[in-house]
Amino acid sequence: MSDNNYREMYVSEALEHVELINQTLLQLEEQPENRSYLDQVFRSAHTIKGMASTMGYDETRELCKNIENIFDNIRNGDEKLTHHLTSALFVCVDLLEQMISDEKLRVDLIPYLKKLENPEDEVEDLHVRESVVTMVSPTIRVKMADLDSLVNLVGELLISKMRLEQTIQEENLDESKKVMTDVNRLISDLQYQSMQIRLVPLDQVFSRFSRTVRDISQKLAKKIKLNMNGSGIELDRSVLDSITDPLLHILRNCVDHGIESTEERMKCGKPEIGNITLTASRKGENIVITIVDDGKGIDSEKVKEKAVDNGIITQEEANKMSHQDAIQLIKSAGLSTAKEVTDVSGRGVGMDVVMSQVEHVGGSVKITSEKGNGTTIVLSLPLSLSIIKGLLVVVAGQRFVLPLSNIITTLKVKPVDIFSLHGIEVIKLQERIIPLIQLGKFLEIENKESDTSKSITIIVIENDGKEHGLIVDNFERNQDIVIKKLDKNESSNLFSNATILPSGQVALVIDPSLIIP
Amino acid sequence: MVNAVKILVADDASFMRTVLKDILKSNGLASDIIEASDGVEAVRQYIQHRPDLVTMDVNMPKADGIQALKGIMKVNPNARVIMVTSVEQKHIVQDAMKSGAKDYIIKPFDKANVGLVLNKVLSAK
Repeated sequence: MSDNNYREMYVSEALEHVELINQTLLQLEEQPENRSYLDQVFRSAHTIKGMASTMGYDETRELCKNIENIFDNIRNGDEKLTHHLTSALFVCVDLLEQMISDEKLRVDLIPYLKKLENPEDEVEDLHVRESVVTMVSPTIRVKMADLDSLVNLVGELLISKMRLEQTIQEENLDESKKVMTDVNRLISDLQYQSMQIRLVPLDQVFSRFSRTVRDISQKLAKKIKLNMNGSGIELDRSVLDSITDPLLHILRNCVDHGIESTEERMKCGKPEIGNITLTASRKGENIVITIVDDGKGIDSEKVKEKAVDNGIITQEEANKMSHQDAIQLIKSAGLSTAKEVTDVSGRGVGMDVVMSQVEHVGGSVKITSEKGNGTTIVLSLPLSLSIIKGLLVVVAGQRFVLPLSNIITTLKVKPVDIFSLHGIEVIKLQERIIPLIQLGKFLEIENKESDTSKSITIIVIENDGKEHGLIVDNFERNQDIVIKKLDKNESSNLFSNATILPSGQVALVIDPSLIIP
Repeated sequence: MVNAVKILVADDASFMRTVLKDILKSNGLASDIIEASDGVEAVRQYIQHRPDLVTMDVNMPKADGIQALKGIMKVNPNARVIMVTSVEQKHIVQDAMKSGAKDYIIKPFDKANVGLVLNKVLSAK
């Protein structure tokens, strides 16, 4: 095995142990004398040390040796795991993580080791960074059994292919059909199995958040408990990667703006410790992640005020707006109700960034809040990005795919049903007014006006609660769409995905969030 | 030089197992390598495969290397177990030798030393 492969193995395994140390340290804060937790940290530090010394990383080895020693002392009763020591350990574990990930990183260990020795001392030059949540590395650990069954299926598929070739040669149509059924079954098994491999447990990401919440609440001197339940749910790796930042942002907001200070909570008669609860559940083809805090909630009047100030809505609109609608305003760009920018969540990004990231993977965000009683944010995400159910639509002779999850209904209307409202073509659908978009014109592939004599095909889509009707020439059938990501050179503002149709043609996948203004 | 034998590599880090496996293979010492990632599995694998030799890491979850060593010695008092340890843990090695370990190797591994120790243990009656 090459040194490079060793390095890859080292990084991924060592980082797993770093993560384990982080988690166990958090648990130790609640049960500082739990022997099995103490053993766990000792063992992980020892394991990283052994690997680092094999790789020749002396500084990493040295740092681990020190951590290991501390836990050996604690186990023997020679040292106590104080709050200060835990904080110092967290700092060192962060450093350890960086040293493992970055081979070239050179650090002066002495201040860190001093801090470990005297955790109460203020050591200069030791900037205590907020832990950065990064995904371990773009690798996935796959259970051997899963891989075996994948290889097995490929083998079976190969046999079926040979049988198919033979039956075709013999012109035995009946037999060919039979073999084809087998092939179909094998392929769908194969599809399921390979999707399965891309799944990673949500708890893996969740567990990293405890650290973030701990660090921020400590900085702000707030008492906060983060309750998490991933319920063993697994999510596609790429979906998981893209929601880590948004989730982190939401949690930061909860800690910074949501949960009140201890005095404020006492004044309101709330329990001293604020609660943030992060749960996940599965609903059909979607994963629903809910973040609930019992903080001060969102003041919808303030949101309206701010939105009027920033010209997002008019005063008139604000007066008419319901509490619920006003809260949704915080999803729009350039609106943050926090009075001042803090260095915790005031990074110039708001919920609008969260929105766009979640929408990018085909998810949605819903916010409910009651002043004084806290806020609930619900993220709804697709299970997987690689295969979706889609509808094939035809515009100007070209086929496009619309994700089924965004489609409300399909309609055929007569030209007279379309009328104009403030210069926009609309239709009425069950008492709702739905604005129309000529897809062909919008995509700049067609100039002609729709033929007024024939019936018009409209596909009503929904995105972020807004409905629009897309005028298309025709639509074909629903089918499973295997998503192929376009690379940077190929993608445009409107398209980032494509698929290959059974005919061999390429069809672009329309992302409704990019079309709906 | 002894004939290649069946070796059980017990270590909780798959990285360390791989490194050791590569050394054993390149030395031509192992004909067959079985792995275990904790002390309990090490004993179970020993019973199932009856390897000619075991390399046993000291720090492992579930049961540590010393406990696993004792477990194996109960199954076969003539078992050849070599402890794998770091420099700082040499004191543990003495305990292990009393419990029946034949020798020890130190992390980070020195390829030549691993070969020497294993050859010595395997050729001893």
